[in-house]
Amino acid sequence: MRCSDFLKNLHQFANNALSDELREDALAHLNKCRNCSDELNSLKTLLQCLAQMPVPEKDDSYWQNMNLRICSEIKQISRVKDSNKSILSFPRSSFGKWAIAALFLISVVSVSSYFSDKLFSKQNTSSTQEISFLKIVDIQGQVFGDLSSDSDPENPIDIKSTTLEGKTIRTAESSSLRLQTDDKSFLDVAEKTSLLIKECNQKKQSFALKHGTVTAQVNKRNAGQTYQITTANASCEVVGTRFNLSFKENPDPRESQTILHVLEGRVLFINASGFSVIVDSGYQAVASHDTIIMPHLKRTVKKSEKDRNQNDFKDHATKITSKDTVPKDDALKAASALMESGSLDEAIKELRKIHSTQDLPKNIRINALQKEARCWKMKKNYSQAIKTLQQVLNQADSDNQKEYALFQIASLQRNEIHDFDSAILNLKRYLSDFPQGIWAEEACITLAELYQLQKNYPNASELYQKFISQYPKSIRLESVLYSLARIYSRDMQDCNKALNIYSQIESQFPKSNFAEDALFWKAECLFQLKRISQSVSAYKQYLTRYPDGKWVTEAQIRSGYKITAGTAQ
Amino acid sequence: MLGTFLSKRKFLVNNLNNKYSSTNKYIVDSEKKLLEQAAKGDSDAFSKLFLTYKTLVYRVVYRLLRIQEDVDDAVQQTFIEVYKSLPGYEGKSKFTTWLYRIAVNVSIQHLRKRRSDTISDFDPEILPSESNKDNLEHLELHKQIETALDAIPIKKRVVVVLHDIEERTMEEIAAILNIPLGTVKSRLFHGRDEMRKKLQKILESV
Repeated sequence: MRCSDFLKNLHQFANNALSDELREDALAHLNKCRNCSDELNSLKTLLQCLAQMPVPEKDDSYWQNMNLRICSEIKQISRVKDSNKSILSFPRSSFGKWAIAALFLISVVSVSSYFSDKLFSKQNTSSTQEISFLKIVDIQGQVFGDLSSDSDPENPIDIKSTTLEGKTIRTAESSSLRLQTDDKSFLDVAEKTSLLIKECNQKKQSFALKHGTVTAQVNKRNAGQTYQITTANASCEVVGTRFNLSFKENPDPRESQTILHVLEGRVLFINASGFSVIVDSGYQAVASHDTIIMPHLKRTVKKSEKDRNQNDFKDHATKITSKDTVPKDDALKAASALMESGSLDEAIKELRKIHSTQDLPKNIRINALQKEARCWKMKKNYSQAIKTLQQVLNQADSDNQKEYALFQIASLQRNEIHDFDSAILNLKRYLSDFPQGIWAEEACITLAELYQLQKNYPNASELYQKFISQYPKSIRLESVLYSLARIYSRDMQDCNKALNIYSQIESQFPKSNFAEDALFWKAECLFQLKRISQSVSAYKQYLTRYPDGKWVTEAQIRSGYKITAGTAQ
Repeated sequence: MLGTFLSKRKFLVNNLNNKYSSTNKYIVDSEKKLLEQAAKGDSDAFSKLFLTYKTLVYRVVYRLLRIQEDVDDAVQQTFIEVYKSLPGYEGKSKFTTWLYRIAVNVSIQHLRKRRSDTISDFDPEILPSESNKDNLEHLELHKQIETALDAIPIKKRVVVVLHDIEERTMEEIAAILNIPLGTVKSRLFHGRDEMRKKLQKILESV
């Protein structure tokens, strides 16, 4: 064998993958050739070192935290999956790259007064079975809300108002409102705006803009989830974007205008006559009954172009410069406009100036801090967001502002930076300082979950019990009951307590997602308590109710064994 | 009578609980069931999967990424991907092969992102430091090898890690990466050679 042949087979030789014949030749060559021998030694040393490369060992707390992170993510995925189970799905958008980016569709509704009246007189249609995320997260100035028509007396609402569905929200001059409509979606209601909150739950978020302006920041929609804002002559369905929509009412409905300004994402904008354009991020379009106008381009769409390739419209709209949108006489509004336009660094600079201006009223300076924290969140710099919120917490006089800051800090620590110990401390503080707070229910369950995942079962069970007694009508009750029962039966070996709760789930929530597991674990508890016949009866009950259930094999073995044992005896 | 029943019952329950550590066939069956349950969204079953395979995933991800922050993210992302993709896992390949595939793909995404984020300042030839000439400490050697490993192209690095560190067979690597066996061999040999060139002086001094 020559050197070139040996080197060609070097790796196979090192891997013991050569045939016996070739191996013999190679060994003979190695005895004679110093260079090839060095090559082999060098490779063997490398392989030996690679095989011994250490991996740092991780302790239990690392895996606990990792488990928490994964569970937290999975929970969100499951939540979305569950929310899609019982609803009709619709085909996903075929925009390809735009599928990830925000996308929304605007379709036209009739302008007839009949339709309009019907639309606006529609009261709350949300199902009580749906989870409502709707919260007020910020109020500036005076905001009113009532259940009926414009002529009825208006009731002031504050940040703690919770029953908003079915109400018409009105903002006074120089006033504004920020609503959180789901985990990551917000709706900013500008001054002198009237907005009916028709429905707001996991599946459907529906609003009617009577007059004024709202700015929506909408998280990506999943199939079956809808986000809709209607005006008298148009409606927007959102799949995930940030946009600004204004409706300027005119006594002559044909002269009313809907102005769309897209901040992020892409919009198909169709007016009552069927004319359509795609409006990209940073562009605007104005729809009236007969036309859609791109003001800066001086272009008017005069015929239905619905069937044309949507990409044809990409360049039709005109970029809006920040000068057009930033009010110069109001620093806070200017900073908000910068935030909306995505200029977060500039917005932070402006907000810091406002905060450091001692002459300004304190609530404005605190508001600047809150907005700064929001900017950091948008930049995903969560540590800085927490630091800023800490300033709000330390400096604010208003309990509302403190409560908001504290809960935000705990949420960021838990969800974003996964500092669970700090999240626990802040959630405890929240529950102690704001036992009746608007996020108290959420804080209680979150804290219990964190304790459970950290295997602090006594504290977790105590909090779950507290939750059950304080929020007996909560939509999360069945899930809390199940979690508590699992802690008792699996982690604390208290089958008596667990049995009671599994039975409660079975009787109180027979159709819940937890009913199947509850029945199986109830049977297990009965067995552990040596109540054998009751246990077997419960297993059989399980098999009857859930012939394709996930515990069928186990239930068959357990219930079948009783028969075998009986026969043997 | 009840005592006999209970002891048999206990035996059965223990048998069920210990089925994962029984015979090989049982491992396959129980794993299949665990996977089915996890695919249906059973969080207890998924937790079991996590506990069973966390070290495997961590090891391969760590060896490919080594920056703790990236490793943490990649391990988390791997299990999230497993959770999302489990309903589509048909059992055509071994579960560990499928799991390796996800972990490797997630790690490669991180490596590519890292490559686009930073400019490598790697010196193509690594020389032993003065203190190493006489007695090169193992830790230092490992560090140098890790650096050399980081410097070879991602595709080759993955194969070297899977074969020479994780001790996967070439056939299994071909299945994990979904590439022909010949490509695995080629990447392995070229990867090793590139590492040897970079570490030549150090390897000679060991």
